[in-house]
Amino acid sequence: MKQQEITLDQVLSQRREAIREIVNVDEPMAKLVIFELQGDWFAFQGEKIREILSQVDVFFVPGCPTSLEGVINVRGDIESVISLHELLQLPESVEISSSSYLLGSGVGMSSGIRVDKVVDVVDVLLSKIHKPPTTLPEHLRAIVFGILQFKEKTVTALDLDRIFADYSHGLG
Amino acid sequence: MSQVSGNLRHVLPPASSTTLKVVTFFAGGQRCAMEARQVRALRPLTDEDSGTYPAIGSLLGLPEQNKSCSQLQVLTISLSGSDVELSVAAPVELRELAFDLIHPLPDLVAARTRLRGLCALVMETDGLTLIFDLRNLFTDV
Repeated sequence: MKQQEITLDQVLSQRREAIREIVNVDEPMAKLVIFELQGDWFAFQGEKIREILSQVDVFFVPGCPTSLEGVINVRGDIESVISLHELLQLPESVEISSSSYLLGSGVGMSSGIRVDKVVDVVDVLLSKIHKPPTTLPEHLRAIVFGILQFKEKTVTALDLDRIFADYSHGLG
Repeated sequence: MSQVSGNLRHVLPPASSTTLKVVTFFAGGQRCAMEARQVRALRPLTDEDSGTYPAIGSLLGLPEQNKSCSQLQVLTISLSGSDVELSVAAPVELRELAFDLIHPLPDLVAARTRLRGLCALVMETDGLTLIFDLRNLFTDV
């Protein structure tokens, strides 16, 4: 079988390209946990999410806002569970039995967050996360830190520290 | 004579064997509890008593439930030397809760609860018990 011939220029070009790709890997990355709420995709920074749970029993706690759905037992520790629908001004999910729960930490607090579905946990280039547009609705401006495209859908990246801080002060 | 060590760990029993005595009751359809050391007495509510004692549920911020006089008891609570009498729905029980079952409120529950004096939760297989600190309750009222 005849071997395909290649020029020195082509060899050097391919080698340089390979080196460039290696350099590209060093570009700052961010781990994101992408989830779905009412058909829209959102994300939290991966380091803010300790665990993803499904099939948990949520115990109702009276005297709390409806968005604070109750508490769950996580291997002997009790965590609250909140829903972001009200905060994001989305209609409440009808079917919650298939929900997943993200265990999040931020600003010295922790809580479970109920989401409709976890889409993926991915590493993305920081450069792919764009600043939120100025046209972002008022209620999202404080809690959105970026926008990105993933699998041809727009993902809104949320600031969990800000959400917990605002929630503890009565928002949502 | 036994010598008491200066190290507290030698004096206190291990946490896993420690229990807290509580008085449990139902209010607003929810099982609640308070430290037993804050309770001085419990007696049935009589017809003459009816309506003269504030319901503990409404003081805690829980929805009131209509109970007949025969289902109510009068709980005498001792706080800072003074007694307070409250009506509470039967059954009222004395229980010992294992240390491991008692959890501080999760951060967001502590921040957002509208219940007065709620300070801890107990999660058991048959559901949740809300633990109230009555010192906070009477400070808030």
